[in-house]
Amino acid sequence: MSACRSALLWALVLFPAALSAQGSPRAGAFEIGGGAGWIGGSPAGDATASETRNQTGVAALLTLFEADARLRPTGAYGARVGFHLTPTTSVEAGFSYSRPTVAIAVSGDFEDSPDVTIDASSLRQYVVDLGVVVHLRRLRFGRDGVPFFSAGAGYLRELTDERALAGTGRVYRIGGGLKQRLGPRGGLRFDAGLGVRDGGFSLDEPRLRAFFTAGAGAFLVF
Amino acid sequence: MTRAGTCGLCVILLVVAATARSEAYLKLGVSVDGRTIGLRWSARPIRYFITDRGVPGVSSTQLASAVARAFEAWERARASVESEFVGFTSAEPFDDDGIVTIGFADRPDLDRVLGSTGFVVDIFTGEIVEADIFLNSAFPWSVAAEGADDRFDVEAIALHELGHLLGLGHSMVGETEQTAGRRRVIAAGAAMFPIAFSTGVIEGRTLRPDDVAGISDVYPDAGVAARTGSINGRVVRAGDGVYGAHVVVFNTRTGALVAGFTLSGDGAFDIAGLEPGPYLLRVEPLDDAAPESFFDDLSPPDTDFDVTYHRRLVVVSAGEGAGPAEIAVQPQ
Repeated sequence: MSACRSALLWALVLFPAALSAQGSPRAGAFEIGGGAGWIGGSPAGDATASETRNQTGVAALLTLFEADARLRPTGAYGARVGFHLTPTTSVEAGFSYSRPTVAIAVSGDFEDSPDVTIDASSLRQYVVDLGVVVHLRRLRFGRDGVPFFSAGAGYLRELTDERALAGTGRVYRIGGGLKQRLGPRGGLRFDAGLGVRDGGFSLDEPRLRAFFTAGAGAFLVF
Repeated sequence: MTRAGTCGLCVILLVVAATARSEAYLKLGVSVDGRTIGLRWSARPIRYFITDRGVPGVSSTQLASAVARAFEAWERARASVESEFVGFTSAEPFDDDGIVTIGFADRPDLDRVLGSTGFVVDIFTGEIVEADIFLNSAFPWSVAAEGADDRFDVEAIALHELGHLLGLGHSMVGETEQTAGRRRVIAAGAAMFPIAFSTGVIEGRTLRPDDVAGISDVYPDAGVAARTGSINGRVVRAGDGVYGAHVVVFNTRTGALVAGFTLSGDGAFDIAGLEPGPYLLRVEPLDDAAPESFFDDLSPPDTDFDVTYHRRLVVVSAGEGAGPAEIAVQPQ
């Protein structure tokens, strides 16, 4: 709900300015925007609790229980500041915040305890990133819809509910979307893409893990 | 404190010297004015003698080498423990002679005890004044590098008894089964598990994270407090604390299993010496060893609850305590 309220707030703030302004993006123009989005679930590692078996020869392990973690899909919200290098290409810096739930499926308990999902914890997930946006003006949708391609990389920091550091890492994203101008200086922006986490929270050693993203928001050019 | 053999042998507790009940997680202690003080050596290095008598298959020199390796394992475990082999002696273990004596003793009457550690302690300060260890020569022993069938491994049992000598109690990180009325270890996750591996098995020569956490809690080296963290919390049933619940914390990143008991009526626990990382918490009743290996008869542990996992992930940071983690269990 907070993400939706944030998007609405951005829209209320930006739309009047966008609708009343005149002109179009040019080299040297700035663009700010913000909105809400969705981050798809992703694996977060697995682990096996084991003890040493009482046997001769090659060492063997007894599994006490197994755990398999996922970050559940979650809402996110954030903001971006861009700078148009040319009328079609801009660079941008962004910040996003989300609270994915950590769901850990525990199974195979040696003492036959029923399988259980540990899901009362969430992460405070912060991402700051830099990226490039290429506007495909020749592929306009109608008069004011401009598709774009984007890619970027950023820094990921995740804290637990208790504010303990759960992990840090890098995030890479690639995707695209549509900017629908509602006026000469602003409009709506729709994004979809694929992200890859390199690090961050994981039950086991962090590794590359993919996830999908989608979002919508508003932007203002000045 | 004693260690029992497997192969159908049951755990028994031999009360020796002036030790008190097991206290907190893994530690031995004495009760002074209503509070428990952990046993520990103040004077270090710990200077010890080896008895000058061997047993079939193990000479006194081989015993000394095995004990030295076991001591070295404890000294490497991020703890400020030091030892020094002084020489051989004709003294007997458990003589009240003011020296630390480790050796074989013929105790056929203790047909379920592989080894035992006895103490003389200052009951006001918890300082260990003297401690002796005997390995029961009524059993067959080996120091073979790969172990020997039908013989117990000297180094593994010495490692366990030296843990007691340093002030550690028993760990319950292990699984057992009851066969023909006797308890057999299936697997263990600590050298301080009270029941030994079977003959021919040498896996007991290695300290596990639970042992390392315990010894570093008793004898922390200079940086251990800054490098490790802790988890505290309570185990409750219908809102009331559960006494004697076994809390196992599992570092999913390293695979380390470290455990402790709730040792007060409010069900509180505090497990220290943990490497930073994400942890899952599992609570179980004491069902893999005789309760008297951990608790005295006056305060039997509460075992009327099922295995339960804490519903939250706990992340431990270096130098910090995580929690409180409240784990609600259900009666069986």
